[in-house]
Parts: sequence; structure tokens; C-alpha cells
Amino acid sequence: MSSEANSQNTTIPTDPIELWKRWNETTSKVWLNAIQSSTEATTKSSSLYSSWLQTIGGSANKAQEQIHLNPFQMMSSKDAWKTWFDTTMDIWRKAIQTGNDPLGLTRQWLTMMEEAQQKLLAGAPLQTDPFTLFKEWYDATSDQWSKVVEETLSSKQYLESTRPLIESYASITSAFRHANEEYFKHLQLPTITDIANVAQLVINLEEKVDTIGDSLENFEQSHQATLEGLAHLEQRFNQVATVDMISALERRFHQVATTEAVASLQQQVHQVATVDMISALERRFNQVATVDMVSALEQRFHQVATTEAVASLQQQVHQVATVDMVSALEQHLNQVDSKLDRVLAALEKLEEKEPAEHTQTSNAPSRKAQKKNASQQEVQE
Amino acid sequence: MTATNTTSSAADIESMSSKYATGMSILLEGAKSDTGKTPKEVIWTKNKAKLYRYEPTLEKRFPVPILLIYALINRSYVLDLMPGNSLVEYLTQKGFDVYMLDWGTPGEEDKHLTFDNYVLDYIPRAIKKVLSCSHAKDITLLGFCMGGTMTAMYASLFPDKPLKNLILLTAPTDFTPEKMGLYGLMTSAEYLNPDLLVDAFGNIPADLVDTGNRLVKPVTNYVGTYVTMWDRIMHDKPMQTWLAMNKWVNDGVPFAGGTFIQWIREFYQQNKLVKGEIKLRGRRVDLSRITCPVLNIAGTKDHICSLPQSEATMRLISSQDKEFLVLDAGHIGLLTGGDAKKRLWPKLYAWLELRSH
Repeated sequence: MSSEANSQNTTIPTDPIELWKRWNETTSKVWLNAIQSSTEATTKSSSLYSSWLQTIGGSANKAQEQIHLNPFQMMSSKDAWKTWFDTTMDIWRKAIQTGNDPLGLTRQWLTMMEEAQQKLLAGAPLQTDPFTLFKEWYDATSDQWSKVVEETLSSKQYLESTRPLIESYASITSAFRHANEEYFKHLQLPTITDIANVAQLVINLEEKVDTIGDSLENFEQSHQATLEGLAHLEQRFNQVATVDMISALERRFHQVATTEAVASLQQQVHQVATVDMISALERRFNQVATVDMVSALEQRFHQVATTEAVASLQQQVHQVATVDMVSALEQHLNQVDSKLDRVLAALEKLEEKEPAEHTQTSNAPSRKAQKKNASQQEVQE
Repeated sequence: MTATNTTSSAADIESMSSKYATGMSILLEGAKSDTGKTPKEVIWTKNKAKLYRYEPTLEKRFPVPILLIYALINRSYVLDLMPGNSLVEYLTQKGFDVYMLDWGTPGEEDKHLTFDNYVLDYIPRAIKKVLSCSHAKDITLLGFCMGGTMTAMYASLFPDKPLKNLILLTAPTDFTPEKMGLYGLMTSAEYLNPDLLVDAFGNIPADLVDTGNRLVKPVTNYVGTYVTMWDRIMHDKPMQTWLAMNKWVNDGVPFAGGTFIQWIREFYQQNKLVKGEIKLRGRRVDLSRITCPVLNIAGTKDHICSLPQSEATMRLISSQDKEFLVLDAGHIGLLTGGDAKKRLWPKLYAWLELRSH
């Protein structure tokens, strides 16, 4: 903390107006110092702010003068801030009247302050703390003011004004620098350029050292890689066959078929059916009948009537009487047989009547017995 | 007024004074913060550049190391802001082997350095050292802002091994003026002659670069930041993150003159990168040669690298495995702070976890 701040701490003002006065004095001073030093160090592009803050500082001083002159009437914070606003805006108005407002920024600022004044003073009781009121004022206006300032800074008029400003500042700096160089040269004292030249030599030297360092590093890496490679190679050598093994291998090579033989074999292999093909064929073979089966079938074929025989048989079959016809025929035969039986019975009766004739007929079988014998023969066949 | 009230009032006033003193101290002396605290060792140097290896906090879980590359105009702590709010710390704690290339501060003797030097000399050598130190064959490159543009250029020139993954954080590749807003106007050839500034300054002072960046959002950067500061002080809110971020914003490094001319002329004014017309020592930078997995991240509120500027990368590269992640954050808020912890960092981890073996 600065000594100034320390001294402030040792004598703490109890009167709020005195506190406000001291705060205002210090802040105004700080802002003005800051602005002045920044404009010296830069291209004065912040001059817009400089004038703005200087005006605030100036108006605040006016306000505090009034506060100092008549402190008891200023106990009302509203009155105090009204006075502050009035004084501040009065200064801005004067600035406009003197024509010191080329970009119209002051006019817009004044309008905005008037609006802020109405808004703040018409509202709730104002804070006695200057900072709180300032923050309220800032919050109420900063967005609008930002827009105004940024639009102004973007204007062609402002931008065109910055170029000659920068150019003049740069040329003055350049001339001053050149003059200094010449001055020190005459005094035979080293200038910043001389020191920079020496520093440049050091940098160049460092660059060379870096290059050597890189080379060494690369060498080290490659050396390391070589060592690792050698170790690896050694391992592989240990795994390599000896001369005897190679001789034996050579002998075996001589016994091995030549490339042509292998190629020929390969061709043959290509011509040979594959395992899949063989498997498929095998499956098909399994499905085919064996020779025995074929022979048996052949035998059976031989036993089978030819088509012609079958056709002939078929014709014959067509010619053969049907079962109905056979039944009818059988019935008919049975009827005929019955008739014959009756005839035979009648004949036997007649033979019993004739004994002579009867003796002759007893040696010969009767017709009924003959018929019976014939039937038995048919069954046997 | 009672004695108690008097005491209370005095205490209040004392407290208030103390707060004002704190604020004034920051305004007068600048924000102070312990940044870049993750333990690290320097494993290689070149000119002003240093290569850090961050000490692992646990056994290495991923064989592929990460090399972080930030913008030439920043300090290295932007990626290692403060304990508990550091991307480096987070990745280290997740078991990654993390490295960072610290560009250092260029001196007068470095004013002739160009992207040719940085992309073709510094980055490849740093990668070689990382691989050697990490005993790895592949690497993940994470580039932030201009560092992202540089890593993209490296990736297009060295598309094969050892580059395994590429992460781009708010990395601009398309510099079409309409896509850059006020930045496009401020850097146009009509209003800005980079040679003039380099002739005058040698290296471009950090203040000048910072002023240019702040003017894109002047009210926020010049006033809003300090309103936030007073608000935090007055309401006893934690100040560490604000201090670290404010230190970052006000603590840039000079821009090497040769690189500044290239950056403004060939990138901003002529938009050569998307046209494939950037040449580094005669080697054409063709982003379509990038084929490795790419995670491209942008912020909707980023006014240093606008969303369309980084989105263009997605159509320029040839990677099959590519993702474009958009976060509702600004240029700094995207990388650090509460939102980053909740969204960006877990996303990075999830993406890397799958691609770091």
C-alpha cells in the first residue's frame, strides 16, 4: 500500500462530506494522472476518454467547491447530487458552445446525462455513498454510452483523424530516437542499437550452439539406435545357422526338385480335382448303386418280359374272358354238369333194369366216377 | 447519539476508508496477483523463449503430452493464472504431461523476428524437446489466440507425426474486415500503416497494443472494469480473480516489429491465411493440409477474436474428426473464471481423454 494511502488511514475523516471530498480529490487526481501518462505513452487514441474524464474531474471539483463553501445545506444527498449533475452538465454545455465537439460525442453525452439525471433524481432516495450512486448511474447509462462511443469510433471521421495522429506521433518518436542515437554516438556512448547489435551476436552464437546441440543430440540418438541395432543384429546372428548346417541344407537343396519340376507339379495340382470336388463326387458315388446291385438288377431285367411280350400279353389279356364271363361259364358248366349227373343217374337206373348189361358195366367205371377222377387230376395240376 | 452508534459509525467510516485506500492502491500501483504458480521447470531455452514442464501431481495417465502455445503479446501466466483458477493446474491434476512455450519479452535485437522464426524454428524445436522429455511419439498442441493461429500454421506445414491433436482456443484464421467489427476498421490499410510504427518503435510497445485492444470496447475496458473493481471492494467480494485478470490485461509484452508487420499486413489487411497465400520461408501455409483431430473453441462475447474469425477454420481444414465449440464468454472469461471451470475445462478433458493414448 502506498504511503499516501497509509497517511489517509491514519486520519480517518468522520464527516461524510469530508470523506466524499477526499475521495473525489484523490480519484480525480488518479484519473487525470493516469490519462496524462497514458497519452504520453500511446498514440493518444484515448484522448476522447481523456477529455471526458478530465471534464468529470473538473466538474467534480466545482461541485466539491460548492460543498466546501456551504456544507450544511448539502446534507441532503439529493441536493448534493443535483448540484453535481448541474455543474457537470454546465461544463459539457460550455464545451459544446465553444465548438469543441467535432464528433458530436459531447452533445450525445450531455443528452444522456440529462436523461440519467431525471431518472436518478426522480426515483427513490439517493445514496449518500458516492460510489453507489456512481454505479447506479453507470449501470443506467453504460450500454447506451457504449453504443454511442463505438459508433463514433467506427465513423469515418474519427478513423480518418487517427491516421495523421498516429503518423505524426510515429514520426516524432522516430526523429527523437534518431536524434538520441546521434547524440550518444557523438558522446561515444553505446546506444540501444549498439546493445541490440551485441545481443544479436549473442543470439547468433546461441543459434550456432543450438545447431551443434541438435547435431549432437541427433548423433546421440543415431548412436543409440546403432547400438540397439547392433545388439539386435547380434541376437539374430546367434540364431543364424552354422556352415555345417548350411552345407547340409545345401545337400538337401540338391535333392530337392527344381523350380521347373515344382512348376510342373503345380500345374498338375491345378488340374487335379480339389478335395471339395472329390468329396462331392464321393457323395454322389455313395448315392450310385454298386456293381452287385446293377448285376442283380440286370438279372431281374432279363427275367422281366420285354415290352413286346407285355404288349402281346396285354393283347391276350384283352382277349381273355373276364371274371364275370368265367363265373357265368362256371355256372353254365355247373348246370351242364348237373344235367349230366341227372342223365347219368337215369342211365344207371336203366342199367339196373338190364342185369346182363349190368355185368358188363360193373367191370367198367361209371361215368360219375370218371368225372370225379378227372376233377381230381385237374386240382393236382 | 449514543456511544454505541458513535463507535459503529466510526468503524463504518474506518472500513470505508480502508476500502477506498485498497481501490486507490490498485489504481495507483496496478493490480498485483500471484500468477503462474503451478510448479514447473525450464527444460529448454532459445533466445528469450523458455520451455516449461509442469511438475505432475500424479502418475502420468496419458502418454501423449500437451504443449501450450499462447499469443506473442501475452505473458505465460495467462494459461496458468492463479492456484485454483489455472488451466495448466487443471490439466496437470488430471494426469496429463503438460508443457508450455513461454515466448519471453522481445528486445530491440528481436525486432526482425517474424512468424517464419516462431513457426519454423521455435515451435518445432520445442516439440522435439517435449517428445524427448516425455518419451512420447505424438503430441497435442493447444494454441490460444494468436498462439492458436500459429499452431494452425505449424499443423498445416507439418501435418504428419508427431502432431496427434490440435486444440484452438479463440484462434482467428479469417480476417475478413466485416467479420472483425471495429477491429477490422482500426487495422485497415486505409488507417494503419504498420511499417511506420515499426520504424518508429522497433518493437510495438505493449501499451499501444493494449490501447488498440481496449478501444474495441472502450466503455467496458476503461470504465466498466473499474466499476466492477469498486463494486467488489465495497461489497467485500473476493478480489483475487479480478486482480489476476486485470494484471493480465495491463501486463502485455511488446510485439516483435517484423511479426507485427506480418500480422497487420498479411493477416488483417490482406487476409492471406484463408486464401492460402501465407508463405513462411517460401513454404505455403495451406490449412486444408490439417488432418488431425481438431477441437476449435470460440466465445460469443469475444471482441478480440470474433466468432466468425475462428469458425472459418472448420471449413478450411480437412480433418474428419473436428468439433466447433461455442461458449457464451469473452476472450479472457472463456479461459478462466467460474464459467471456464464449469464448461471449458471439463470439455477439454473429455475430448483429450479419448485422444491421448
